[in-house]
Amino acid sequence: MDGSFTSVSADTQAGAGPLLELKEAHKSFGHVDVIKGVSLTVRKGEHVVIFGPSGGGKSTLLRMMNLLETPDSGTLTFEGKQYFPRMDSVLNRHRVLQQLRSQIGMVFQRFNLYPHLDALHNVTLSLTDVKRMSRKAARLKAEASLAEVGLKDRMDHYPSQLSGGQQQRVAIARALAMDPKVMLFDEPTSALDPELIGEVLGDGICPAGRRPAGVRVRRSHCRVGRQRDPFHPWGGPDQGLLGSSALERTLVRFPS
Amino acid sequence: MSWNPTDYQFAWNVVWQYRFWLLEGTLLTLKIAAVSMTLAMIFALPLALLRMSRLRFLSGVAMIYIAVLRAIPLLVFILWMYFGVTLVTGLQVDAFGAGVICLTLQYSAWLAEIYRAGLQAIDKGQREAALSTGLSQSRAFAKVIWPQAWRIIIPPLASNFIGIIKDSSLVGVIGLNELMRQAQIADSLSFRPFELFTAAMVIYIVLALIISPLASLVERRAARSLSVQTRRATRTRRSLGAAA
Repeated sequence: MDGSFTSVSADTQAGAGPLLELKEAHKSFGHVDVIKGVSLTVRKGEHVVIFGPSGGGKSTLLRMMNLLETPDSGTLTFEGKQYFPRMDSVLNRHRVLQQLRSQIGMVFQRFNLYPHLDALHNVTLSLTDVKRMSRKAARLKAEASLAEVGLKDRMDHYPSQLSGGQQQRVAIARALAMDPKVMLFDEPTSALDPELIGEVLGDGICPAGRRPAGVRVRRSHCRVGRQRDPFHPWGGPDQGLLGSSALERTLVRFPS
Repeated sequence: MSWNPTDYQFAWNVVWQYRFWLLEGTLLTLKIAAVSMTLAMIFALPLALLRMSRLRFLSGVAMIYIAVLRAIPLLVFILWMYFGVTLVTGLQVDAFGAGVICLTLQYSAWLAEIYRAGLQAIDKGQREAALSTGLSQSRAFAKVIWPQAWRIIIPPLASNFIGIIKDSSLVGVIGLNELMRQAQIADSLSFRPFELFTAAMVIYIVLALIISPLASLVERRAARSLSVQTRRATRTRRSLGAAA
């Protein structure tokens, strides 16, 4: 995946600076260059969707945004503060990483719920541990968060006792309870039956009032030849990159 | 004394006669095994983490330590730890300490590999999920990875505890009067090896049989959250304030 993607400026609020900004990110695994100089900005209230075939680097790109994946080069800025690269001591570096990640929610492709904790404690763990909330406050917050995704009566269920869709909603509740400023979804519906996708993505899961910016990864269906789209005006000199293997570079963004 | 099998008359009353000797030996056996196992369980964790370190030097050191300590014959190890150290340094070594150190070091090497297997069985996504919400590496380990790995580790730990009970019979050579040595001493006084060693065997078997259900109990407790059937029990326990 390579290229530079500038924002759709027309629909975003004037004056709103970029919330999350990735610049010239590179990443290779062994001899495979997965990310080849991708730049991407996310503004407040925006909803960005990344398309591409499997193995194209979508997840890697997404995981770079909370530094679960460390870029080989490039910069990552969140709310004007540079989080990568940094010249910190080892101890401090971990603290800074935690600070970044606690503000960015992530929902994984395979849920990654904690199987040894029930739904409620899946949500409260980070509240008590990272946000240093009291047990009682964390419990109230988690209950509200789970109620929001419609799982009020499933709070004492363990992940193994929940359906796929319910598990995914717990994962969303776990991320949302932290009040993140950005949410990252890694193919949030790929592990679900088509009928369950509505359950996860339906309204009510994330009320508009507190909707964070979101970045979502989806596996694309055949989109060859569709190099231009009114919704994603490619900017700058990298426009020409959309050549032979457009698929890998297709990044769609649209204002929510 | 000549050995004539046709003449041998079992006299099981010697077991009763020496019952307190055997009991004393059993208690020391349990003490040695429990202390060594506890220390080995503690010591094995950093060892397993070192072994899994991404830094080649650290994992290499841990790998060599594990390989060497597993390879040393325990009996020779104990003899060296007790007599050898005294020979070389002139320091008098405490027999109990020497025995416990040998058992601890050897078992920590085995347990480290068991821990590693348990920790590596946990999906990478678990750690990532914890880190993605801002948990530190150590908290992610303590709250997410270890509780899950622990469950996997319990059954092999129980096997090793049984193993350490039986291996503790080797520390008799440095004069610790554990069960096996007590039986030997009693035999040297009564000339009744079969009765006494059979009694010792029965005691070892009973100890092992006690550990198995205890381990299953711990395992069930740890695994209760994975099983649908135990939901009710869990709910009750939580209302009692026992659940984390």
